[in-house]
Amino acid sequence: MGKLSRSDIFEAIFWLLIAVIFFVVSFSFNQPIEIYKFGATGWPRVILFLMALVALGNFYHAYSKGSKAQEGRVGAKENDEPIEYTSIGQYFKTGMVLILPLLYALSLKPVGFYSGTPIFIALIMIAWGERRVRFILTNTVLIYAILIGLFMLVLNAPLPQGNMSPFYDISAFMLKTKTQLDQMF
Amino acid sequence: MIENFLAGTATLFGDPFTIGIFVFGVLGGMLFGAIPGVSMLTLAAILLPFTADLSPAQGVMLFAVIYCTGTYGGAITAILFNIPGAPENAPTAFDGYPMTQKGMAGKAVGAAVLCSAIGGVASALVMMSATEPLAQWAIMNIGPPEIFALVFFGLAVASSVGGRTIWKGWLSVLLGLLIATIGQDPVGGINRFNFGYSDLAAGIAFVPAILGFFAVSEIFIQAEKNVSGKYLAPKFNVDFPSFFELWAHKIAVVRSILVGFFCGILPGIGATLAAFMGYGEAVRWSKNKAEFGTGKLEGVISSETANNAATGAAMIPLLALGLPGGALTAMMVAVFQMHDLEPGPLVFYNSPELIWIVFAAMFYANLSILFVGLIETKTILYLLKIPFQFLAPMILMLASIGAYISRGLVLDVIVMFIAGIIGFLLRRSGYSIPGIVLGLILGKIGEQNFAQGMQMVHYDLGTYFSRPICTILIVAGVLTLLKSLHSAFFQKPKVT
Amino acid sequence: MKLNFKKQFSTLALVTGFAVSASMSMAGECRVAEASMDKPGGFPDRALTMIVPYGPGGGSGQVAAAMAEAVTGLTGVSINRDHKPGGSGTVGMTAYMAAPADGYNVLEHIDDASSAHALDSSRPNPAEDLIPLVVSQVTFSQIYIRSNETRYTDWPSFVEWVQAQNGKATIANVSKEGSMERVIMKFITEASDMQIQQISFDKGAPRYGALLGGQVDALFEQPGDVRKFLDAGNFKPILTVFNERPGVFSDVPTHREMGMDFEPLLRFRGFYVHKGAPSERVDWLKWAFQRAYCEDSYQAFNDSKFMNVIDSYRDTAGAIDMINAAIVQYRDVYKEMGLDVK
Repeated sequence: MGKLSRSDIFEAIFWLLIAVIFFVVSFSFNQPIEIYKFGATGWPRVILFLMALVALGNFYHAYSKGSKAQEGRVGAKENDEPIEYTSIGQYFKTGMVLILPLLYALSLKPVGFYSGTPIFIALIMIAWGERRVRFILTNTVLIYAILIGLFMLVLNAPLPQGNMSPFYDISAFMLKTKTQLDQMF
Repeated sequence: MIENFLAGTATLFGDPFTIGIFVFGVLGGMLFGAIPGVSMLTLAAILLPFTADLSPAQGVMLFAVIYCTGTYGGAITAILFNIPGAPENAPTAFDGYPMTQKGMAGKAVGAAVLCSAIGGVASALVMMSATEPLAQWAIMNIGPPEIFALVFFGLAVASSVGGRTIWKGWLSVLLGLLIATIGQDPVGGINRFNFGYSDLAAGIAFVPAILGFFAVSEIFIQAEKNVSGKYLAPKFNVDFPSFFELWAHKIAVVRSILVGFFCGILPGIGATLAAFMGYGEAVRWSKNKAEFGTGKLEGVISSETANNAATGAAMIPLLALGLPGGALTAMMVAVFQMHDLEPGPLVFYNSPELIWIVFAAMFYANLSILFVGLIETKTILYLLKIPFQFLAPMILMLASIGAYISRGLVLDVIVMFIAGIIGFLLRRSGYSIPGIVLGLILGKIGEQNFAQGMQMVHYDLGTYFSRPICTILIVAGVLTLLKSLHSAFFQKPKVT
Repeated sequence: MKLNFKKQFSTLALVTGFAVSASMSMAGECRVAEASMDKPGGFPDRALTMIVPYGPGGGSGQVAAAMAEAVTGLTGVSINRDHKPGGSGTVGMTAYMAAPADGYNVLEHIDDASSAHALDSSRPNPAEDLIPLVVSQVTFSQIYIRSNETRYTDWPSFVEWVQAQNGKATIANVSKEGSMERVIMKFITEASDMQIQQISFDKGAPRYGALLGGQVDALFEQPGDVRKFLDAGNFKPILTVFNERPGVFSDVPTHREMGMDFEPLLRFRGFYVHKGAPSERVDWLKWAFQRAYCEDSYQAFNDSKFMNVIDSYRDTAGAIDMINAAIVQYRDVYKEMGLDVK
């Protein structure tokens, strides 16, 4: 097995899989373009070919020399003490940390920014190990107030309003209040 | 040149409203640069619609000022939180963040203030003398084939930086290039790789990618430590470096100014490549190579001088060719267009007064980094005292807004968090995050110009290589790749 | 593949012909009589959101800004512009169709929405799935060369030169298959029997820079977008793709005069609201946008963009006619081009 680690094998499979999957998908848009010889697929396919080639080189390098940083590499870092996972609970906690924000992002279209944000802020604090109820409540309100104050009231930034009832109505109510505030001052 | 500069200065400071915009830009750039999660890009994107109400000179000037002070501001978050405000601040974190961990945050930030100011002012001076002649030459001599060649050379250089091995550096850049092909192709507008998700026709923008790979992934790493009880709050400290500590690095400063300026001229990569090369050169010339990456002041100095030295240089391709050097200069193009102007050589003929107001403003903005920066920085350092449980959700929310604002697409928020997860996983395997981002930014420019170039020369490589600038750049790129290839096979692993 | 132009587009010829004659008599007059209108049930009591499927800098971004300013000036209701660029306007359209149909959300869009529907009928039809509030810009295309060009100076000499290059001559154009620009170029090359390499640029600046720097031999564009180059004397038009010579370009021949017998496709930009929005709100919005067209600020904007050269105004009925005609026209063209019309 040379100097290969499990992660080296996994990485090689990952890159080759990407190259193969994207190559297969590229047939779905492989239509000719009248004014361009290489069409829509030429450029991405060259990239995929190079990716597969370099992935093999990377694998060979790890096989013969291990996965330590090369001399003279700029800006490359070794792992700073990797975190050891000892229990399933730990995996679950880290998993929540990674997945929660993604769920929030996916909810933005139907739910919108104004309704979803406070819930998400509180949830994320809980996921990250905070258990003091008062801390969570006050900080959720504080962060939400800062965001609304800065982006909605001062900068008038167009934020997602959601498109589902009752979330859209909540957004509408907030924007209406803002208009009334604007008219007052 | 002097008269023009003085005239620009007079216009800039002759009108209270314009002064107000200048001050707003200086403070806004620094503040948004220094708040983790948002960056100068967020501020710029939010302000973009408002610039329609300003005069063209005021609008462009505001963005130029934000660019200068925001590039400095991005160093603050890189040093304090390991979250570079923009890709050009990435190498600053290599030594800046270890310094914070060692309780030397004040020294690192102080050095960043001074070096950003020096690099920026020097660059502004060269920019003023070189842009106009360069602009006139460029319009006739630089076309799509040359731009593709530049991109190729830039990628060849950039892929050799940041990865643990050259193979990983290349894979990172290739991943970026692949991500850049998602969306419509640049010739026929045909949808590629949208996997049935119609919003992907808009492509993957670099703003959410930058936020995800840099800011979100760092938050995830800290959060992982937090839930496993390994989180150590960074140490608070406001000791600034002494004059002698900085004077000792004068050669590094001069070197970085030169490197920064020359890299900055390359369109599409500008300041990012500059910062990496500045840092890389510092390592190459140093006697104590092993100390880099562990919290060495010279690392911060060389990277911060170089990226601000690139701000002035990056204005040259923008103004001369209409080619943005990075995210913020790309938004400047939008400011120009909102006022029915096109950045490019014509601007010099049609609105020379605008150019000189912008030049003067950039000069003074860089100068003001020194004064305002020193005052602001002491306050900014108190960010370190904010508990992580508060800071982290705040950063994530700011980043969500920052990602959403520039295109108004929820897709961008989703992309940002996915990039955050990928960054979280890739960082520990020695891949280069800045490499991915560079590939993404340059990939679109590269493919478009490759296609145009090929159409222009009718797919005849002979005609292609009859253009001297093209040939030089392609050969330089190939040589760089060959050198990298040689080291890929024959360079030994680091002895640790 | 040779297109048979003559049999096509009799309906559109009628519509555009009417438009030109209308512009002669109506230019300058406001075609909405009421200077004010009561807000139905308090609507709108907050800012409207205008989704713009293109970036803030381009033609759509600019017309959206000008129209929003005019509507706000007229009614006091502010409009937040929400730019959602990408996918040649499809991303913004999809987002708009998903937004609630309460009258608070309006849409800016261009003729690309009509051609997209012509190609794929599952895409929204702007005349049926939406209600046009107003079309406020209608313009035609031209072919430009550098003013200091010596190899050719007008359309006949250009065609002759291009034919002598054996397909090596180049023209800068947009980067979207089936777009109005590419379809017209196809008409032109086939009708004038020349081969020319089109170079695709998705952004304006590099497209104009390419002509300026001599990277390409000619440019396909609409006059408003290159006005500053025309005013500065850098570019000059050699062909107008319109049925008659517009006043400002009276010395430029039209494609018909040069023996090309096809109906010109036009670029038009307008504003829309959901079909399901409450009708009294739609009426108010129609009034506000149609009346805002007459505001001085908007007229000054249109003037600066060469948008008053031909009649740029269509009310709801006029817009529906124009969109329907365009859809029929594009569908015929696409079928003839062998595209997969769904």
